[in-house]
Amino acid sequence: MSEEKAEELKQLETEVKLLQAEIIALQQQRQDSWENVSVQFRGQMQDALAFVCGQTQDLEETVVSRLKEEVEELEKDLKLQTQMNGICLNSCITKTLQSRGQEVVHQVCLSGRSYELVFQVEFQLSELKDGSRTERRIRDLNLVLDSSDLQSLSSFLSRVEETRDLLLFFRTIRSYSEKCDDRTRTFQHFQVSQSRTGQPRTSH
Amino acid sequence: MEGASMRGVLSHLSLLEVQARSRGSQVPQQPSRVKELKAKVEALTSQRDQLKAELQIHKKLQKLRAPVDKRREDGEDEEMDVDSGSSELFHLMARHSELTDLLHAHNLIGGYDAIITNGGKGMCFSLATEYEGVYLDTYKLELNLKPKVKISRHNIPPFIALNSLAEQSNLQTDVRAFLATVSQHLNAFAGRRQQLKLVKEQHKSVEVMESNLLCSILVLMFTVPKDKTPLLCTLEYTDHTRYLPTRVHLNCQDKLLPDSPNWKKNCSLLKEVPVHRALTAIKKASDIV
Repeated sequence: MSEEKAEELKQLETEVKLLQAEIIALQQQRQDSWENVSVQFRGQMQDALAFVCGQTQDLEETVVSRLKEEVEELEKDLKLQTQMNGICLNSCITKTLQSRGQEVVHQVCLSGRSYELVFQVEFQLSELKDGSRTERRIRDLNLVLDSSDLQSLSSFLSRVEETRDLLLFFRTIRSYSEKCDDRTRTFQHFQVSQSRTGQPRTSH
Repeated sequence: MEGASMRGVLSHLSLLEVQARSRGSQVPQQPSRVKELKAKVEALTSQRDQLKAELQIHKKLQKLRAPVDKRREDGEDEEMDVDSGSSELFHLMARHSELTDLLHAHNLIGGYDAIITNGGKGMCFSLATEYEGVYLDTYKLELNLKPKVKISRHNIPPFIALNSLAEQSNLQTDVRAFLATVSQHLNAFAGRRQQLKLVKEQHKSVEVMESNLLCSILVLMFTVPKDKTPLLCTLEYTDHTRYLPTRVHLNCQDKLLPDSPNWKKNCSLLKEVPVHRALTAIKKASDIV
């Protein structure tokens, strides 16, 4: 082998080592940044990422219009879920606390409302891979409710926080706030009818 | 040209030709190692650039998703548009990641993951169950919406009386009420089943004599420390929407035992607290082995 080829080889090997070290450092940075907000790059998001890196031949308008389409689909989907679940979520921030081997632990902070009941929920979600199944568990549940009727709910809240029954909490506040809403509307209806005729109508 | 010199030129030419060819064939023989490394450098460079871009975008998305007041506080707003070449793209990416997170949250809190099927004529729902922070089985239910609302396919166990629940909660006019009722029954069932599992795991000294598929009946055998007397305990869960028994019945050779103040207290406990936890307390009080 000629000397210049040997030199070139050495240079390339050094370059490879440097790049590998850089990549490890960047991967660690990414891991650390996930502790603030976790973002997934899949589908159109992956394409957009490739575009920003200059690694695709696509035009910006193509990437933008395809991403817009996907965003519109997601908006429609969110509307449907909000309507069917009877819960309106305003924000969800997920932080990755730990991603080690088979277990991933996220910190999830949600805020939203169900009818007039405003809530803020924070919990840790542990996902443990066990063969083909993933076992999900809630740890450390924190519930904050903004309600004028906190008395009747406070013992329920502390019990649910202790047992970490997240889904029970949401099922309960949905049905509770739905009933409150029904009561309020019924009450308003009778108030209106009363003011019109001057006499209370008999209820059915 | 003279024959000899012609031959000399020709042979010289062919010699040059041979030399040229052999030089050409030397290059691929040369470290394909160099080629290999060059390709590796290219791949690693691309990977590094992608990671760098991901981190940049991540930073931007984080700022874009931060509440507006915080952004203004940090004086970030102006800075964003400097890169305005693709600010529409970044805003879309931020909205995309926000929506993805919100949809995931709906799933986490036990939402129905509703999907419209059959060209709008049907809908499919996921019914998630959970007990004491542990996510359990998810059941699927499909409804046909036209001409009438009807239950189509599902994988809900037959001991949950789906059709009678449909009648009770007025499926035709209120799909959400129907789903809420089914979810309530499924979660109560899953909770009772999980309690049974925990009893078997945490209380080896307690023998499970009988249980049914719906987990609405549970018969346990305790051992009372004094004389190792066996005590049979029957828990009846007649309200299938609840995790707690409506009736607790004790059976013992020693007829006085069930009426003792301790055991009267324990029976109340078993109606107020999930069985696996009640047993822990009863064990602690040394009422059972």
